[in-house]
Amino acid sequence: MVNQTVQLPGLGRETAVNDIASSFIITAADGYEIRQQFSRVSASHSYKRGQVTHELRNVGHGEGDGPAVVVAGRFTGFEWIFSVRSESTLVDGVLAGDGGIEWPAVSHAAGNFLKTLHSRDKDHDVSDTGGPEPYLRLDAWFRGLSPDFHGAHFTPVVREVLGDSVWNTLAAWCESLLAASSTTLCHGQFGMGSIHVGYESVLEVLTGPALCVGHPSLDIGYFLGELLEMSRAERINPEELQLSIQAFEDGYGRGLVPDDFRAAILRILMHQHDFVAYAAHEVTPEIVENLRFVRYLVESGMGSR
Amino acid sequence: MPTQTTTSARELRTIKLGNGLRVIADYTDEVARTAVTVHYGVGFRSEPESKEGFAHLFEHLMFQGSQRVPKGLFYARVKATGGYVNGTTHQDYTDYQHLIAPWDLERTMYFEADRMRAPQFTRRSLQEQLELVQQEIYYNTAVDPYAGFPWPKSSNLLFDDYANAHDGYGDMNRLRSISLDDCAEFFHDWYTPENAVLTVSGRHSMEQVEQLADRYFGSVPPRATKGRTRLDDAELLASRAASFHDPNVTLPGVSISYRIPGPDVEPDSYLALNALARLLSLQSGQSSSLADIDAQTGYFGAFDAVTPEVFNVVLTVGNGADCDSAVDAFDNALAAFRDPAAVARHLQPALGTLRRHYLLTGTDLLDRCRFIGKSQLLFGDPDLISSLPQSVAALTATDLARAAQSLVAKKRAVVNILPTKGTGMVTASGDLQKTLGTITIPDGRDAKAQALGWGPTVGLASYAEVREPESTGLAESLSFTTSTRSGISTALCRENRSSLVELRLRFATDGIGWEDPWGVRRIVDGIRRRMEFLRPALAGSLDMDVRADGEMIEFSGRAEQASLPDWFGAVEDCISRDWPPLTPSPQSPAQSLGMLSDVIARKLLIDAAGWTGMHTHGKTELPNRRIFTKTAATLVVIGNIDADELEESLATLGLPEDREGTHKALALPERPNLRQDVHVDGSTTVHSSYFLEPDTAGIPEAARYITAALYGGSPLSRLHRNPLLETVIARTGGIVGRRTIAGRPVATTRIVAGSSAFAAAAREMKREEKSFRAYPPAKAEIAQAIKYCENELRNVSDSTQTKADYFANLMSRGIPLDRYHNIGAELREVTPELVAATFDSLFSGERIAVSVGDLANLEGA
Repeated sequence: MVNQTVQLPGLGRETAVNDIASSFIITAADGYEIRQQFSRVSASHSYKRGQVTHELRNVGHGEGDGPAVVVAGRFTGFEWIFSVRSESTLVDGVLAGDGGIEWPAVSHAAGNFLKTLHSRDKDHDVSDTGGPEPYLRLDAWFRGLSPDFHGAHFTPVVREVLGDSVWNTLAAWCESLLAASSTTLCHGQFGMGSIHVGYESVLEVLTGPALCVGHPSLDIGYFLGELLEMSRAERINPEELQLSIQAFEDGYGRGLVPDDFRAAILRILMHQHDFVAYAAHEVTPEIVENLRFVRYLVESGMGSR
Repeated sequence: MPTQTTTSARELRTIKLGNGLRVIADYTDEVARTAVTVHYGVGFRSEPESKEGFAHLFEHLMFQGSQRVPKGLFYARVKATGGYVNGTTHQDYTDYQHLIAPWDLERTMYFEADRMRAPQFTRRSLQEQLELVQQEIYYNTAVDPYAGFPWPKSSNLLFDDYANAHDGYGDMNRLRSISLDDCAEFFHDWYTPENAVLTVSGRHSMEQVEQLADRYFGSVPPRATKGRTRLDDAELLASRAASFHDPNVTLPGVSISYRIPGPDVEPDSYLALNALARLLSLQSGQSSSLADIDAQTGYFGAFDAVTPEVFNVVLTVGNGADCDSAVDAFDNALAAFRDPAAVARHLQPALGTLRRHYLLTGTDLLDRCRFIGKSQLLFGDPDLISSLPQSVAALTATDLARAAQSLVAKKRAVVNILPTKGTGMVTASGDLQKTLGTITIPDGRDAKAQALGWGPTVGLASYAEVREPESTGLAESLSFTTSTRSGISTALCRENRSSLVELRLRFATDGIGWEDPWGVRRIVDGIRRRMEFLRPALAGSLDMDVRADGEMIEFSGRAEQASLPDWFGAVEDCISRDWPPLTPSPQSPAQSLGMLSDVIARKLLIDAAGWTGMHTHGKTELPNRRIFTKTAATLVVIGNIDADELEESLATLGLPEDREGTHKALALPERPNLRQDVHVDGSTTVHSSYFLEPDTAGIPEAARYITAALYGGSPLSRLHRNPLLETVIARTGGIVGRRTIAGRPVATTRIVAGSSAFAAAAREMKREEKSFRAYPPAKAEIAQAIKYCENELRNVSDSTQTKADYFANLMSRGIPLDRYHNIGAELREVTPELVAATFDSLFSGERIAVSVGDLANLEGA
């Protein structure tokens, strides 16, 4: 995604904008206000998610919940509004590369947050959309049903780099995870861009726009996939990655399973797709390298054992 | 909200928004697309001293993203829907232009409003654009022969004040020092709503344009525009002269420039000078020392700047003559025209060509929109283009004689461009950026730019909310009747856009063209020469041109309604002569290689098919009498004329009924694949593959059109989006431009590359062919291609010329003219499976492969 950073105290700025979403940050009396718009989500779904998010607003604030809290979004009819104390996302921190992210601790808190969220009653009325929208988008793309020209145009490049076998494997994994019957309440987009860091070691997790019922691995994999991709880009060193994965497992309360890794690999592929389809509209050498990484992960057995 | 409304006599309405932006709605129902322009009242005569070239650089920067529209998305969106976008910088204005589908108006307004409100200037985009501008300056001033002559050498000599005299290309040493804050200041000073004009031409109601303009531009905050620098409009006190040497020119050239008042001050005398320029230009070739006269008002066209304007003449010196004798010859011609009687003898051709020029400008969608916008901005008269044809017709010989007298009395600037003997040509080669030097943007001085590009967003929806609209389909109608008139298959399209009648008379050359394409070109050159001879007598009321492509010869042009018989009479005059062998016109190397490939492919095909030939009377016979027959002819007529008038006019064209044996069908060759390599010295190699289209009955035209568009025939195609394939073409029997070789429909792919890149491009092409077959386009790609193809078809109605060309293409190939009406629905029925099957059918069958160029030195082959 396109992320621009400009420091201008007292002014608003657009932090991310692409074909399907935009995010705007402005300074507020006690921190910052994030305003997000999504062009493909129906207002009725968003209203329902807004109600559930309101009920979740205390997640992470309880005793023993760990240092990650729900920042419940308010849906106003056309945009989501979040109030945060820190303006920096976890992505900003990792890309800054200044060692400001306390890795194992952050992963532990993230795992713990998901554990708490996934254990909530899933019988909320969040509209059964069939799973997290990012993975549904990916599934449509695998089936050749994506509505996005640039995404569809990306397909032959991906298939040539991955090979038909890996492509078919990934398509089957995606379909299987979305069809799984063991579901929980899911954050839906548990990535580093949704997590704000820098305020008293608390992770502020923007929650609401993608809330859904789905396989829990789809949340876990979303975060894990970004960890892996950041590691490939040498933004996280191998030791930190190893410790972070262990810390996540500790925080979540169980070891990672093949479905988590499958969802993680799918998340890496999804990122490449989204970047080409909605932001860059072209394939860069780095995208091709990341696709080779996806192929390597599948062929090396990650996701199969 | 709008605060002021005026309505002109035509269907033009101008409103002014509360922030000062002038909005013009130009309604016309003859077109299927929409033109949108935004003119800002700032050009290179406004740029600050010590920043030559800033206005042009700034035009580039305005395409580099704005607060809500990230860099790159602007072009990507427009290209993907077959639209057109451009910007140009002139003396007193800069314009931004769009040609779009009507359903895309709202999104285009959004784009323009966002960059009027908050363009983003970043170090990276400034650096990139400086590098581009640096190359542009280098090409235009050091490589291009005559270096854009007469401007800017002439302006530099004719004027003394910085605004008029300086070089608008720019001085790179000075441009390098520009900071982001300089950009923000320039924007703040000049790109204000009150200094801009938004024009929309198309089938949009006044209310719709007003509503959208108010929604998107209404919230742009008003601010004052910087005051213009006073331009030196005094008369030149003494004539001046200068000479330059240019290693890239072979013939001397002369520019003679005069300061004149612009149309803002003296509209009548300006128009007379405008017509005098035409009159003088028509005198080309009258003296042996003067091969050509190209006179015009304004450096970049008439009615393009305010006072002081220029009257400029470029002389091409005749063989063996020198600059002084050419100037003398011109002076004699000019002096002679001080006499109204001398003018009167040439008046009608001059006024006729000028009148038709303005009629065409007023009927071409984008030209019209641009003219409306600039004439509002510069002269406060948005409807000027509608009155100009009439004003031109009202000019008298005395008006032009007075204009000639005024020039004779003026001091002037004369610039000679001379060849540099014994000096090597300057060419652009190698790593140009390395040669020209890298650009680095100095740190700091960017606070204003940041505040501009990242300020709070007010009143404009997020970019993500501006979805690409659904296409409304090809709902516009093209009315026409087809019949046989005087034995010629004729399409008549009645429309009222112009008083001119647009004409295309096409003759299929069939076997004669296949066997002897160069012979056909010799005929065309002879016809063209005859046309030049006839032009003075006919230019008062008609235009005519001729071209050939080995498959057909076409006469094209237009005539005043009453002169239609003269147009056909001129054709008759041209084709009823025998033409001696002439040297074909020179072509550029790339064009020549492409044409040569076509000729070779045709030869391979007819040889393989066992073609026995058409020349029953031997090779020496001149075949023009056998080409120009009624059965070989198709005629397209666009204009407000009825069938009886047309029939009467055609009586002046006496064509024989038929020719013997020319319609002999070509049997398909038995050999499946044909190949020929031809070495030609040079640095470029062209590889063409001609795939013979199978019997087309089983493949819908819409599927062929979309398949070609997705494979290589459009900017959204896979071949075009592959960065390793810089120049590649893939075309097929789309209804916009069908290709045939020896009468057989062919799909073609073509690579044009230098020796070092050719082998890699050829491999990549082969890979793309396999990839398309293995992974055919998905639904989303087809959906986008439908929009693209629909929009490309819409351009048929942009002008009477585009419409005539479209119908002529269909007519001469026997395709029913109602394709336009039916293709819209057919395009929407194309499926991924059909595209895959069509690709297999079109691009996988028998092919004729022709490589022409520097084959011995291909690297990595």
